[in-house]
Amino acid sequence: MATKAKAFAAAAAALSLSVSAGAALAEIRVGIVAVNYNSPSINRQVVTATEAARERGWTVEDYDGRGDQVATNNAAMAFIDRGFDAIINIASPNPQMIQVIDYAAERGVPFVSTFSGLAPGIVADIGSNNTADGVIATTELMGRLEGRGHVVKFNWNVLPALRERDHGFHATVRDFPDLRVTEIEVRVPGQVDDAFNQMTNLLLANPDIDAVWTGWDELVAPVVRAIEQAGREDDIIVVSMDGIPEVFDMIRSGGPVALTVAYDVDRMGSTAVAVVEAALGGETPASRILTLAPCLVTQDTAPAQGERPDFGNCTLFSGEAFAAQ
Amino acid sequence: MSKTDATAPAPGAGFDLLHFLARYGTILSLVLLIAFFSFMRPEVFPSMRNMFNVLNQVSILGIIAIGLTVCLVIGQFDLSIGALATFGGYVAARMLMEIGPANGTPMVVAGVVLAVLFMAMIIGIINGALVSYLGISAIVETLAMSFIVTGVILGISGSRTISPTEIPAAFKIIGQGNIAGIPNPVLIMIATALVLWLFLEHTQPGRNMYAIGGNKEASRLSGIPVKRYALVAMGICAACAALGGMVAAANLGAGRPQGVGETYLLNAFVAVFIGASTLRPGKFHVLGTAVGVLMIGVINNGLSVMGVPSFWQYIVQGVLLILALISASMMVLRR
Repeated sequence: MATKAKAFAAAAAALSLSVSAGAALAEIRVGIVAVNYNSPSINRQVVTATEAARERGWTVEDYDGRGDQVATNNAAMAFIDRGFDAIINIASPNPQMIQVIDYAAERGVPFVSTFSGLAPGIVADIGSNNTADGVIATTELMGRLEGRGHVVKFNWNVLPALRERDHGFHATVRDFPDLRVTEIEVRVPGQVDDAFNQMTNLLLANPDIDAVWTGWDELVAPVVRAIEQAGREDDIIVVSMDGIPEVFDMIRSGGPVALTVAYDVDRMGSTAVAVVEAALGGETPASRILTLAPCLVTQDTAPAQGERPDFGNCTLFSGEAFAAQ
Repeated sequence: MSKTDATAPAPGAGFDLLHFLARYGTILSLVLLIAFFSFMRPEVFPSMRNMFNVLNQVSILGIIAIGLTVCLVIGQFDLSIGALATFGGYVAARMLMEIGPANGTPMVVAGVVLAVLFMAMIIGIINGALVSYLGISAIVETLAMSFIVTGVILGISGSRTISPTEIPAAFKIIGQGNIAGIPNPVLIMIATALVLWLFLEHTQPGRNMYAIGGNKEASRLSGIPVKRYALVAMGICAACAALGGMVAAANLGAGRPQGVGETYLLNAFVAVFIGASTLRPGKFHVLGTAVGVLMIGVINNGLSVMGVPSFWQYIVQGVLLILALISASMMVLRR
């Protein structure tokens, strides 16, 4: 009888623990913050993270910093003060959110981010290996230029991910002494118009330009527009990183845009939620940086209009297609 | 009606350097800048191609700033021009995308452009009504309107940029084509400047606007419908902003739901205020604004073709603008 009572008590305790755990998970509230919510790829990450969280029955609130990092930090602090269970930061530089990250750690609130860089105290930052992506794009470019010529590099070295891509560029071109590089730090906001104007001016002042390396895809369209306006679309190559539909269209059409390293931004949002779930269950990843595989999109591998690359089966290396034959 | 210039030297007085600088300082600065950049990059900067390039690059700013001039002439501010420029570009591209690129004949494009101008003008008139009839601060009201417009665009766009393949060629010609070698955006800027210059300087409503800007109460007492003119001025300003946005969208072949107008908002004010230091110190006028716009364009282009790093471009642009304005502010120093 005593054994039966003990077994019953144990079963009841287990049941009650599992019910309370389930109830706790169902009541989870997640705050999502983004310093620039309406940037297309950032917006996709917010959307997919929100969907993934709601599929789990969680409550989600988001905040758009509209370019204001201080306001973004304040919003994240407010989520923590209101008792939210986790914070997801979408592409707001983690090094500028140290105070929030520390505060979250004090309160035991997991802080997970995407494309935001490494900072002490985060559970993980989900993104890509941007340095490697910078190397990949630059290596492909060097292969097309035979390691010489004049390359213009457009970037904005404020964001951690863009800085990392820049490091990849510099690491690669260091060993090409016959390569001339003109570096342009674009003005943000106004980066699209600035890229167009600067490229137009550079083409006038430097007829020897052979290629353009842009730190992210948003700059590709204005650069290409300037190249086309100058009538140089047949002899200038453009390479980039990001993977926005507009650039897929340009690559597919066979113009100056040779390739982009495309990121699976949809999966970054949902992975951030999976990491939050694991963290709430007491599991943290071994590395604070979690990278997802990108795709090398060229004219041969560009997805059909309106479609995304097949991230499950694509490759990042241009020789794979030949090796498979 | 004779015009008097309070800053003019007394008859019979010798050459007055301060007076000269007050009137012509910015133009002199512009000429010196052109000479300097031509000297530094003689094979690039003074070429006809680059001159058109400079004009092309300032055309969108020019269209927006010239519209803003009308608003400032009657003593009103409009901070919604940035949002309205984004509105113009995005809504035109979106309407044409919905119609379908294949159906985007020149007539359809013209209809869409007129419809967008009309919508923007209505927003401007609402701005004018709230400011003049309800007495709300123009700065606060137009800023609030810019939030509303931005929110609406982001809402209907889902933050998605309309790509070049979704926009008909007949629309892109507005920003990418040329007539007799002169880029269309330049022609649109010149046409806008000409129309608004004629309106402000050579029509009774234009003169009434200057009178309102000079002394609102005196104008009201002399029978000028001051409040109604606010609707007209802010309607024109809004339409010009939307036109600038459409030219930007056509130029890049993309309907961007954000980041268009913000680029031009502050520079438009800078250009108009440089203009108010030109020829007629203290007065906003189209010719002055054109000088201000050109000065911004020449500085940006000149530094860029010289290969000056971006951070230096910011610094040098700021220093040159201050120097130009100091030369034009000599009259204030004398007083």
